[in-house]
This record gives sequence, structure tokens and C-alpha cells, in this order.
Amino acid sequence: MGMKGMLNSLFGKTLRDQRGSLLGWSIGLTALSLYLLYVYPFMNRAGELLKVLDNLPPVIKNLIGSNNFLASPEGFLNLQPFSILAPLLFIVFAIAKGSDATAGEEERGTLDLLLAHPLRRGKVVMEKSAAHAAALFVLALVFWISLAGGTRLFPIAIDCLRLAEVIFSCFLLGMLFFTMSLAIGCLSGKKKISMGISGGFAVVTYLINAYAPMVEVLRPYRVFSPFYYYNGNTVLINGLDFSHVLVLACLIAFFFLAALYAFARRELAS
Amino acid sequence: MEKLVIKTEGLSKNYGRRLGISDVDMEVFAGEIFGYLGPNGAGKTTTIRIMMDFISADSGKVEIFGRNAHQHGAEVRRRMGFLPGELNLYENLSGRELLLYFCHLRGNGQWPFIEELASRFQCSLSQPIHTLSHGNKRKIGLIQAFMHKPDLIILDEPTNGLDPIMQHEFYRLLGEAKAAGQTIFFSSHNLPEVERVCDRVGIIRAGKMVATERVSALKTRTMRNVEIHFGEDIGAETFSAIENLRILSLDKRRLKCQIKGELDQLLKAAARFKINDFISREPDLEEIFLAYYGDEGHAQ
Repeated sequence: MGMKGMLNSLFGKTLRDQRGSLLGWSIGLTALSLYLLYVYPFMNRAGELLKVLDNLPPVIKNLIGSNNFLASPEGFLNLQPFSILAPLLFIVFAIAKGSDATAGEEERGTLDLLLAHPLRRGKVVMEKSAAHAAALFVLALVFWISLAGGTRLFPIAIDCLRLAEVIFSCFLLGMLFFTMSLAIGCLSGKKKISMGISGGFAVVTYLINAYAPMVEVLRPYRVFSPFYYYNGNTVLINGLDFSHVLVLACLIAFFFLAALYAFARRELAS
Repeated sequence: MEKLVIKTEGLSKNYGRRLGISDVDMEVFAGEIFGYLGPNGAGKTTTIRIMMDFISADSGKVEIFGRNAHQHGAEVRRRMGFLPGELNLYENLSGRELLLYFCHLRGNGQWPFIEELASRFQCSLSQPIHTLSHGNKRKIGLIQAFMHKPDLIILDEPTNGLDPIMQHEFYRLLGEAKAAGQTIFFSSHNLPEVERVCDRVGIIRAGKMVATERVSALKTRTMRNVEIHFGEDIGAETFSAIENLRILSLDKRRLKCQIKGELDQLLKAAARFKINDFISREPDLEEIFLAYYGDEGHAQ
């Protein structure tokens, strides 16, 4: 009955459709968190490895995201998962949902019957977005709980508030790619186009941000990368930079409005 | 004065190379069953998709219940039911879950009526939709179009994929809806079906409306393709005096022809000879267009 109860709205149905993937992703993220916390003490003890890492040339260190803090738990977590794995997972989830929300449903042909109901198109985009945002937030929450909770299980001291801040930043990054892929899907009606452009944008802007500290010519372009606003400030150690949060929030708002605009004018493919 | 439910004016949609519709004018009145007849690809679905506001017209407008169907789409659709020609349902739900969901989205829907429809169409609501046959999915599509007893029901090729018994049940349902004052607009490429259930019919060909007629008027002009195989030689002039007969081919023992209206003269002329076989079939739409609408029907 509980699951049937979720069929009372577009929001509920959208969330209900994700129960499987949400469960799978939650298990995966929890396992990842516990695994990382489990291996950290061994890494720490393997001082030799850390020395090797810390003595790498700065170019290599930057590339793998190591910033000399490897010996601290924050430094370790900043490198792994927050330099690449966590943002990557959130972005993959976000793009999968964003490209499917309207374009996927249009391609499957179910959008006709949905829009035959007395719903404004704007409401369709809003309710679906709200449900996907909620799902992404649940993932963020699970991630935080498993990491923060895991530090009780393993003898690792870590600032749980800072942890929440970096995961929140990760959530915002995910939301950015969600709204972006949603907008492209609303504009094109094609899931693959949405996934391709959003995914390509993620890879390019990630590389710009990752190489910018070492490559002089890239440095000015760093501000065009969402990854710079995600963790340019090394949130786990320095906390959230609110100007960075604001930039991400503005981009999310921009893409969301673009999605509303595009979907309201979309000529549905038959 | 009859109340207008659907009114289109100069409705046009250009797809570039693919044929759209041009200058479609149509009026559908409250309480009637209106058949929208045309061969596949004539523009029936395009017209319907503009009415549903899935796509917008390049020019012209649609008014439903006196409101602009594009500007007031959500409000207009509250009083409508719809069955798409190419039906795609949420495959992961069961029929019951899907209908429950749609009831919530509409804000109405009458569950006892849904159960009644399901049993009339012998449609299982508990199975996941992806396990259902094409025909059973169409039944769920029909139920969701009728379940909230809307004022206007738009059906795109509704009998596609229904077996004859279910088609019959569907025609009964149409009759009940009409008796309850509901208006029905349905597209079809099947002339006998339209003749059977509709009050009026609009005929579209190559994107243009070629005629709007009462079905009773259409019936008086019924045309038939007849082929007769004789057991003996017949004279070439045997059938020359028959009115409204168009001889397609005639040799010593075989006649192929088209006849409009009554069969009486043809049968009496043929009965003078030994007949081995008599084949009569309803013409397809293309033949009707050629016979009745000639070049007018040959748009472009």
C-alpha cells in the first residue's frame, strides 16, 4: 500500500520509479565509505607510500589531487573520494536522471499520455525535478551518514560538519549536471544528446580544473569549470566558500529556467 | 443551435519534406460521434496532436469548449479523455496502478466504473503491463480514456489491435457515451467502421479536408467492387445499360467492375447466366477518393 500511495502525484511516481536505483546506489556509496575508512589506517601505517606520494613532483601530485595533506584523514578523504570518485558518482546519477526525465519519457512514448492530463508543462518539469533533487539529496545524506558514522566504527577523527559541507557541495555539483542534462533533454527531446553533451562538458571542465594549477595557459579558464566551484577551496579542510556556492546555485537556477522554457515550447516527437 | 465542442480554423502544420496538414477547418458538435477518416499518413494524427497541444500549429487555431487549446491546454484537457494511436504505457506498473495514478493526475476517475470497464473488456488489471499482449494494452488505453466520463473523448485509431468481440464491446461503449451526452472524435482509416458508428465524418487526404458529411449521406453513395465469374460465355454488351457501373475489365467469363448505389440491376443482368463465383468487397479509401472526390482529393 505504501508504494501504491506514492502514485498519488507525479512527484511521488517519479520518486517511486527510483526506489530500485536509489537502494542500489545507497548500498554502493555506503560500501565505498566503509571501505575507504577501513583502508585509511593501513595507508597511514604504510608511511613509506605516503612519503613516496608526498615526494612526487608537484605536477603529478596536483593531477591526483594530493595536496600535501595526505597524512591527515581529511587530506586522504579529500583525495579519495572527493577529488574524483564522489563527484563522478553524483554526476553520473544526475545525468542519468536529468536526461531521462523528459527526453527519455518522450523517446519511450509515454509522455503523450502524461501530457494528455490536465497538467501544465511547467508543473511536469517542476515535479519531476523536485523528485530527482530529493533522490540526489537522499544519496548525499546516505553518503554523509555512512562516512560520519563510519568514523565511529574505525578510529578516525574527522570534522563531520566539514564532511557535510563537502558532500553538500557535491550535491550542488550533481544538481548542476542534473538541471543541465534536463535542459538539453527538454530542448532536444533526445536522451543520448543530453547525456553526450552533459558528460562531455563534465570531462572537459574536470580536466581544465585539474590541470589549471600546473598549466599556465589554462589557469584563467579555471573559473569556467564547475569543479572549481565544487572543491576549489578544498572544502573538507577550509569549509564552504559561499561565493562558490552562489555560483553553483545560480547555474542550477539558470539551467532549470532554461528547461522550463524549452519544455513549454517543445514539439513532442511522435 | 448545437453547441460547438471542437472548432479548427485554417489549421496548418508543415513538416518540410514529410506531409503535414494544410488549412484544416472542422466543427464538431456536442453529443455527436465524429469520424475523422483518411488513409494512413493523411494527417489525422498530426491534427489530433495539435488538438492535444503536443505540437503547435504553424498557423490557424483550435478551440475546444470555446477555449484556445494551446493557451488553455491544461484547463481544456481536464474535460477530455485521450487514446493515442501509438500507445505506450508505464510498463513497470500494473494496470490497476497505472489507472490509479492517472485518476490522481486528473483529480477524478470513478473506480467502480473502471472495474466495470475492465470486466466488460475482460482485462486483467493486476498483471504488470509489460506482460500484457498488444490487445490488452489497448484495452487499458481505452479504459483510461473513458474512466472519468469526460465531455470529449479523442481516440486515435481506437480499434487497432482489438479483436472483433472487443470491437463490438467498444462500439457499445461509444453508444453509451453518446447517450450520456459525451462527444467523441475518432480517427480511422476504416470506412465500414466509421459508417457503423459515426454521425458525421470528416475526410482528410494528403493533409487536406476533402469533405465533411453526414454518414447517412455517405451511405447513399456506397460503392462496391464486384467480381463475377461466369460458367458460360457472356456478351460484351450485357452490362452496358446499367447505371452507375464502371467496368474495369470484361472478358468472356469474367467481369470486374465498380458499382455505386444499388446492386439490383447488376444482379438481375448477371443472373441470366450461370454464375460460378460472386465476389463483392468494400472499396478501400483510396478507391472512394478516386470515385467521389477525384482530383479534389488529389492534393499536391
